Amino acid sequence: MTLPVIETEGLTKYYGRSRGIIDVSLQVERGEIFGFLGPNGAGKTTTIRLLLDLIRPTRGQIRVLGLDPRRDGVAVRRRVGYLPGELALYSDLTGQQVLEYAAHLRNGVPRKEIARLADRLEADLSRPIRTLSHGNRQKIGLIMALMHRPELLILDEPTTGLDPLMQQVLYELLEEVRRDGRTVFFSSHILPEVERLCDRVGILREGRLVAVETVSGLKGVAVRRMDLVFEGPVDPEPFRAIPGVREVAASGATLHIAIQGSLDPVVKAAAQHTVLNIVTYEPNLEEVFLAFYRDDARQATDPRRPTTDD
Amino acid sequence: MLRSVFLKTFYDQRKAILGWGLGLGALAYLTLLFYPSVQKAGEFYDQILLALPPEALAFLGNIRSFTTMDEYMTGSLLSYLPLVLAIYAVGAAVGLVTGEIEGGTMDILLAHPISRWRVVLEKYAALVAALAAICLIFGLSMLVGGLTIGSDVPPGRWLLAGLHLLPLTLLYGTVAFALACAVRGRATAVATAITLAVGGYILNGLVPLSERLQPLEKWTIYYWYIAGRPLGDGIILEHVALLLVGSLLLLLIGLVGFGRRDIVP
Repeated sequence: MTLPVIETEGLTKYYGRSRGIIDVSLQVERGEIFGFLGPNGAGKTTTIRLLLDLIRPTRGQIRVLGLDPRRDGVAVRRRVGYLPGELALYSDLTGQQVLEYAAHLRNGVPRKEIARLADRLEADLSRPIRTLSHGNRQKIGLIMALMHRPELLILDEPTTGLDPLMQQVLYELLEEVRRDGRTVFFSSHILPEVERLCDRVGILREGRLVAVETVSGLKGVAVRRMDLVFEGPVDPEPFRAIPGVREVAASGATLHIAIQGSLDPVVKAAAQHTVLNIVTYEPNLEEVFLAFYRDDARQATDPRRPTTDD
Repeated sequence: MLRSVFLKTFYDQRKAILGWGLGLGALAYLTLLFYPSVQKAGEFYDQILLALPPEALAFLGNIRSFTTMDEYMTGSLLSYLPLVLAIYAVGAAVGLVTGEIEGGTMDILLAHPISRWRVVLEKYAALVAALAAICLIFGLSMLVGGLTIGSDVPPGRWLLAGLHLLPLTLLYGTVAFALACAVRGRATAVATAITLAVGGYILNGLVPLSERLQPLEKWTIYYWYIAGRPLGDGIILEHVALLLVGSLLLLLIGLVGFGRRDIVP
């Protein structure tokens, strides 16, 4: 079994008395795209900065590429590409100069790779950073993170500021990274991009990791909606008794059902009657995500939390 | 220019180096142009000096006369110049570290395969080089001034007088640099360094007021600068060494402090 690319154990960070993250235990495997989800202030950036040794944990362990970022920081960062959430670049330098400086700090980076990335992202490297829009700066930051073809990419909200076209280009670049067997760890609060890219996601809520799941697994815990259209009105009570059913509403010959987990018992119960139509609605990640932020829903999904130990 | 942290940092200081070097150099040049006439009217100026209270003379480096080049330049410029140059040294030192952290670019820098201690050392080396360059330009300006008025001070002495500013101003700058490395924000670093610079200078001026202050004189830091006279009896190597060792110890504090801290913009 290969070592996880990122492994944290009980990772906790307090800034003085204010909470950063609490007891985050996480494993990111080689070759996956791992999405780190949570609203602002949940602790995504804190976690990322801990991985890069920009800040130090209050307690807990960190391993990145099998190394301790504190002790072997230089060796770790040689193999990691990083895009900060609030990217700041030397504003008096041009994009070209910023990348040249970064390349020197890495003891050289193939020019061809910089040119290829600049071409893909349509980045203008000739203008001073201060004259660039947020999105165009972001492109320079992305080139800087990608140009040395790192084994692990750590990106803090990488698509902010990029126009939709460039977001697509970035998605393609990240998929290429995965195809090479390299790893991507990125934070986001944009669910469609997480849904499209990620193999697994971790959900952070008020500093705690509340779930680590595959995207399809997350949808499995989601409350799904289905409509059962019968020949005539049907008594909703037996459906309410089915485990997992959250809500049953009757309107004429139709039952609107909200259910968590398998649809099978509902379908079996429906089969007692004459069914004209079954309509199911694919749950979107947004609903799943919101579910984790409702206290009652959190209780319901709590048993799934130990999935980190799989 | 962008080959290393040292070169980039030094390059970023280029305008400040030229501005401060040429600005202070012009001041020195103009001051020197007045020397022949001051010397000619020597007695007149010396009487002014005699009329001054002793503590005022201490602020001018305890000179007794304006008729030697050493005393003239010390009294009119070299006595307080380290305080002026400290403004640059402290500002640049804090800017190199806190400026880069608060500006957010330290994140990018430290995300590269370069250790924290190396970032600190290269930035500090750039600060030393920038200060030395300013002192050298200042020394060269005095050399040109000396040649203009036909002074018999040997050329090397002018350059020595310029570089003699370095150890003291570097110490003030290093106080700010070390604190900027170890402590978040600018306030602590700037306030401590400026207090030390101004406090030492004032304390040195107050020493002649009371016998009881006398033992303090040797510990004002400023004394280790002003007691040396590159244009007169020569510099005092022990004092220069003390100042440099002081900077070195402070740099160690900065290195340890920066290695331990959280980088939080």
